[in-house]
Amino acid sequence: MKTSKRKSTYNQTGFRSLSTTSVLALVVLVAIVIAAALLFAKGSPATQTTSTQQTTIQTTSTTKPPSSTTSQQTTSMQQTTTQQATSGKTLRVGIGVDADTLDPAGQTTTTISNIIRLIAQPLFITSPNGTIVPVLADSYNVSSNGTVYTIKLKKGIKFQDGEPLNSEAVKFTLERILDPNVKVPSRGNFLLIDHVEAVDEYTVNIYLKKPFAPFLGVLTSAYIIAPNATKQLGDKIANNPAGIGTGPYMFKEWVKGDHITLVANPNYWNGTPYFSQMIFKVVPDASTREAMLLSGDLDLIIQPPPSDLASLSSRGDVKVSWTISTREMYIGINTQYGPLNDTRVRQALNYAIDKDSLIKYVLFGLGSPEDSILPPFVLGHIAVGPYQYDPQKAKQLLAQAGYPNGFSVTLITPNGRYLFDTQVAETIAQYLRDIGIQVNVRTYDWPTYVSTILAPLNKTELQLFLLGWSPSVPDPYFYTFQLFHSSQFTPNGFNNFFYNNTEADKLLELGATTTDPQLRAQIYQNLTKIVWNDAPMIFLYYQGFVVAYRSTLSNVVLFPYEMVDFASIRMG
Amino acid sequence: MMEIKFGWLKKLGIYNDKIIMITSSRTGMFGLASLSSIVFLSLIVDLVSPYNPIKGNLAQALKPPSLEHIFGTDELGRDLFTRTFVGARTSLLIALLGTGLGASIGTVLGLIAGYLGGAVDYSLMRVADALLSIPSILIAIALVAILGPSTTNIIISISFGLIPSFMRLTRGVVVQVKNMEYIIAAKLLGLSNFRIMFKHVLPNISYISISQFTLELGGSILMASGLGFLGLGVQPPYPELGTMIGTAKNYIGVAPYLILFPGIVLLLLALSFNLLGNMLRDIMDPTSRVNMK
Amino acid sequence: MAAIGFFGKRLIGVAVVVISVSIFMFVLLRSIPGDPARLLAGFDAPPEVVEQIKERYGLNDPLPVQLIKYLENLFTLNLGTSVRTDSPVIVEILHRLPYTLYLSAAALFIAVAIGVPLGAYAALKKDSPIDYFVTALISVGTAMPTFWLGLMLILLFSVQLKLLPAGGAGNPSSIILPAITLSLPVMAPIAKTTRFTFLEVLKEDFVKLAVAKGLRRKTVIFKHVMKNAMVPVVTVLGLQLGNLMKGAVITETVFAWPGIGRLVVDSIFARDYPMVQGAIFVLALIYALINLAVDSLYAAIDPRIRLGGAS
Repeated sequence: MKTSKRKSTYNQTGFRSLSTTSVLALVVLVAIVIAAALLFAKGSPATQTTSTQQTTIQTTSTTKPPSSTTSQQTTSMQQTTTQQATSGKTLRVGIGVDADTLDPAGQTTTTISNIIRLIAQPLFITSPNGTIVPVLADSYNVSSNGTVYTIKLKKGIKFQDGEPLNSEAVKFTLERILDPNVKVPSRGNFLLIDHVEAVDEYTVNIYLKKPFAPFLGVLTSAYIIAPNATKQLGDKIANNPAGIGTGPYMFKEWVKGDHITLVANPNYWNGTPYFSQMIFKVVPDASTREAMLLSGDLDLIIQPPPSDLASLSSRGDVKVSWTISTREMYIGINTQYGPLNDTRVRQALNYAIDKDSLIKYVLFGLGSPEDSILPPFVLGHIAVGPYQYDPQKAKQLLAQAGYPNGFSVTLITPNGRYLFDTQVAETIAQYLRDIGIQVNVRTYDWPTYVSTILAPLNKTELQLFLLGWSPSVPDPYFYTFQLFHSSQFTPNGFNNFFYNNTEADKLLELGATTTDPQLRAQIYQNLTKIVWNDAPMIFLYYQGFVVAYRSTLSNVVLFPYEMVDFASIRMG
Repeated sequence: MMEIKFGWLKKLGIYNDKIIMITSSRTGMFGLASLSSIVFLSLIVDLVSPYNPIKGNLAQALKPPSLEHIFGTDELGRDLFTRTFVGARTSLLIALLGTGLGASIGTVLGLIAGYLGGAVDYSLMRVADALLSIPSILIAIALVAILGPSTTNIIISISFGLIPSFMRLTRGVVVQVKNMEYIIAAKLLGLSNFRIMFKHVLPNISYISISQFTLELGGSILMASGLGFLGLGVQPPYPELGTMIGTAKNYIGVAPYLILFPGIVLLLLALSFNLLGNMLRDIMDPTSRVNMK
Repeated sequence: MAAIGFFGKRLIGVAVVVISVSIFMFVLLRSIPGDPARLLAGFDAPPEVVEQIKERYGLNDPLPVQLIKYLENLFTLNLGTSVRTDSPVIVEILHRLPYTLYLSAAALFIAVAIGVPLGAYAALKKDSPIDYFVTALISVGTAMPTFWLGLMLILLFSVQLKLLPAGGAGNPSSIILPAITLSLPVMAPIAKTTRFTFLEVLKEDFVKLAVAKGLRRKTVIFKHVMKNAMVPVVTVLGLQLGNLMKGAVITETVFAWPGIGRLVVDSIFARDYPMVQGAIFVLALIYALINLAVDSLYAAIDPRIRLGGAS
């Protein structure tokens, strides 16, 4: 009626006659999106509570061995009875990265390894003071030629699925790590294993292709897993590593991008675990982690925002704890590039940087100047530095080397990979400009950066580059051999300083094969003096590893290799 | 009323329709004023400011706004006011060049597609469809990652995301224009396609590209700063607004002003371009001119 | 029928677009420096370990072979295996997609629930301070840098007031800040269109007639004006659905929201080729299907669009 009368005005769009349909269409569009969201929303926040409950029941019922199924699968009332020996408390930890995989052999980050260590245990671990102590191993013996490691296991330990820990399990674990069909990013460290032999129920012989002194350290990253449970899980081990370990906590659930939950292992071989549950919340943003700690949603957070450490420490309800970690931060120098070829120039660069100010202002105090090529806690550490801040001396050295007016150089840095990486690089550039060197700073995203720093000598564009070195095994070998041996020029190894010193080479080779700790320490101390003087890098600082926690927690022990001893924490 | 208001312009001899329209658009005037003040400040900031935008004093790091540093200082002790306006200059430069490049390529491709039609048209427009269906920020991220972060490469990446929308826009108009009498006449005269396209069609559709260009400037400045925020911005030590805000995120607890001030300038820049773009569209588009009268 | 012809043609168009996007992204990704196997193994890993990983994910095959394999798999909807997580890409995407849809739905809801009444009210009170306020809000909303808005909201509601979580998706209230952030750039065009069409409809004779007939103002607005002003709003809404997907990339990164946008960004930075390709494929497919749905809706509503619907 009215519509038809007006039609001419709306000729182009025809709005008029369609009014009702259009309102409907709008409603339908919104409804479709919402419906689709809800349809898919398994584990999404909208349905968080229900899906969590479902997962709990599913995981426990499908993966727990018969013995523990009864206790876990049934109602919460029964759960408390079986776990009465624990405190009944829950520890909620805020972590910055989510796991890629929960397969103990597939780990690449210390944070997730830290969680895995609660589920599955290695034969040995490195203690907070750097010594290697047995966990599942009882004792060990190395053959005189250094190629056979005989390891005796502790007796009477059972995996969470009820399988016994025995030599076959160790053999299975190591052979799985070596299996090319299994994704093991850290396999490189294990490639020296020739074969593994189960001598008797509790004795394993590991045969190496050649003597390798840091091998015991390598074993600290091999989490022993239950053969049957692992075989049954197949590919599912990546998402649901239930029953596979001997550790104090058992895997309960992993809601990707959100949290990983572990529950106490009631049959743990080394006393009843204190917490009945541990929840690791994935909160990538440091400020958010901090806010959740302060609001009481979390009990402990890894790496709070460094800029807030001062205000956090001044609070009564929160404590901050930090330690010098085993991560060395340095500016690598391409020792075969133009002016950088001269030792005096490289020393000059070292004298030009005010490490104390850098740590104080840029890192908010979260670091300690490097005084050696090995961090403290690592075998063979000897303090030979630091190079004291002395711009005058730096200028003199430059002049002696024939560069009184400096030269031009490019400093590259990753962006967002390390704590305040670009800020550190910019600050260093500023210090170098102060002694007359023209510095160009370039930032890269991490993958491009990795390609750049791994280029071979004839293709490399490297001059100066910022890097952090924190090997998964805190043994002096891993801090030195790949970096400084002349056979390890990139891309074969990681000597992208293209550092070549025959004396250093000899010591590096000796250190790799000498098993006597005292002798080894001596070797690495001698090496330290040589490398320190040659200065293939600008020695910066050992980065700090920091956690913040509610003051109700006690006995928070940090490992210098950026891990927390969660099992030792007490609450209240 | 208009007569009185613009009497003095009339005396100066520059009074005409367009000026009335420019000056009577209050929002457009706001855009123009805010844009020109930011541009002015960013051009003279090096001369006026006693501080170096690159070299800082670590001991002065993270100082809140004060009379000495009216925006405060950043994490390396550099004056934030100086850096903000030098950063605005970088952002402006990237947006102008990036949009210009994207608009030129997009317009030419759209012109070719629209004018030639047929298979050329179909394939070009499917490419445009494809590009439009990927969030442009993702293409830009990938391109910057390929080419490496630098001012030039960010400009290229931004232009890439703009090509399809300019293609579509131009093609749409060209399809209408090419059937007009004068174009048909030109064809009958035996002029080459190239000549018709660029000498006869292009000038008659350029008004659309120009107003669209101004509107897209706002979007480009947001895109460039978004890349900077993700860590793919221009190289240090030169500041750029998005990179500054991205870095400031690390200091959100102690120095919120590091996020506040560069963000306000960024918002004002994008806002000014949008308001100006709307005004230009009203002025240049003949149909909307009719509507206004 | 004609409708099938139209629909079929558009479906072929969708397929062409999605496949060309896939090829384009494949070529683009392989041109980026960086090696996923190397990243996974760590920069200190020996070359043989890197080789093993490359072999495992077929990264050693010549590029054309990889491309053909990839396209072949695409037809069976097999998106490959993520290099980073070693799980099927499709599983990962189906896990992340609901988060993005949930966030988009929430943002769209806010945008409509606030944008439409705001635009309508501004139109009814044309040239009043409220109208100016809404107009200004629209301009600011269009020019707002999403990441900055997100950070400012975090600053205000999380850091200062400690009211809402600043990120993640663990808490039911986690959705609030990202949804608001994502909604603003969508709300602005919706409010703008609503205001504009309301003004147009209010000028119409039938509205004046209705008022003259003595109908109550409220009745007029709701019965007549609202109904007629909604079609263009729906148009804008359809267009904005695609923009929501784009805004999600930045918003999800700022708020650490575990959706597909952040997944793509993270995967680009990890050079997880299969994951990026898979996610882009799904995004492009959704985008193309939304466009198709919107267009089809119009075709169904108004047959004339079908005729002129070539462009």
